[in-house]
Amino acid sequence: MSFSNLELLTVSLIAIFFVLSSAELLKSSKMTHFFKIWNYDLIKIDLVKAVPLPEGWLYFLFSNQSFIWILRFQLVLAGLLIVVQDPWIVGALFILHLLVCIRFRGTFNGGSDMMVFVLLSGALILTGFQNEAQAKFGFLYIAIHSMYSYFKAGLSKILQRDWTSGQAVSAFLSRSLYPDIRKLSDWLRGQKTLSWISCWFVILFELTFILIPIFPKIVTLYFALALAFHLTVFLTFGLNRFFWAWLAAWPAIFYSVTTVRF
Amino acid sequence: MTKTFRLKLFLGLIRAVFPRWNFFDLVGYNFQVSFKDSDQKDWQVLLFSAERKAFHFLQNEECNLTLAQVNVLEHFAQDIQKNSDLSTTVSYLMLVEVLRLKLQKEKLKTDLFQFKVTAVKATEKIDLFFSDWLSVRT
Repeated sequence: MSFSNLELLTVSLIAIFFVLSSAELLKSSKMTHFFKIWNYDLIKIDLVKAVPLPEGWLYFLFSNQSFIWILRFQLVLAGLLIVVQDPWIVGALFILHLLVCIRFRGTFNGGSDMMVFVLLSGALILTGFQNEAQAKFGFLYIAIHSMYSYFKAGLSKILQRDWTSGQAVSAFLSRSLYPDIRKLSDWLRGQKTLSWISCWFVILFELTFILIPIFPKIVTLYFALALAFHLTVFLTFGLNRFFWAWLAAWPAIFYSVTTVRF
Repeated sequence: MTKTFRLKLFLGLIRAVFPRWNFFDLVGYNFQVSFKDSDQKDWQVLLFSAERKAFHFLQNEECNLTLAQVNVLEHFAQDIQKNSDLSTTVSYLMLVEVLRLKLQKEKLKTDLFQFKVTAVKATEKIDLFFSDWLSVRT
């Protein structure tokens, strides 16, 4: 696939993430209880201490009504981004996403929010430079971060006894919001060998991501494994945003490992 | 410009810009919230649950919002260790609203409830916080 097609694919996948997540939060904000919990009057207590802006600006950026407008604006910009790959649109999405994260006191959905900032930073470079020699650093930035994200996740697991002894998977499954997964956790706790295998499968899968730049031929295999992995994470923990955020990083991984010699 | 600018709090609010790729690494303590109304003697654990459907792959607002409520509980559990006056912290005020929302569905016998936050790991349980009596209604 050509550079420009990969760029279009990356930017479109980022746009899809924003369409899905903005629409989801717009639906959520219509629930009557939403603004009772994430209310401007409550978050303002921290904002006045943490954001060095006058109160009028804080209200403008973080009031309940502003939150709705931010999501609507995100939705429109995401749609536009598929048609026009413009760095100003990417930059605007970066700022709007940051405002959404601040409203939820840092992140709404943990790691997927972090990956979105990586994607947007890479997309800023991709769309900001006309010259492929410079723009490719956008792909490299996304690829290095996303491959490192798997590797680092594996590295921090292999240092934990709960993971190496095979207890971690059932322990985390017991915290799922889904009752059937909590039952699965109870069952898995009694299956020592299976628990151990599942823990080590996750550790090795994540750790060996570091091999992709060394052996580029395995990239397709790891892409398939990653899709299955994120689908499993969705089925067990409901983390649908992780799937879409990490999916958007894969064109950059494919580009980087097949064109750049490490 | 505010006079009480707190850099650490600011960095906490923008932490998503600085990725940390540690997912599900440390099992650690899980935080539970339990409640009772003024007629009850025993604590009842409040469960955070969601339903899974195929289209949630695209949009999963119920689950993501419930996870955000669990985050509120986890923020509060962290604040317990840092703050002396918890009743004025954002995490406490948000958690009370989460509880009011959920307890309205539990149909308590009285209008007053009390909650406690417990750190749980395997068979170990440590009560971290007991609230005053609060009204279910705002």
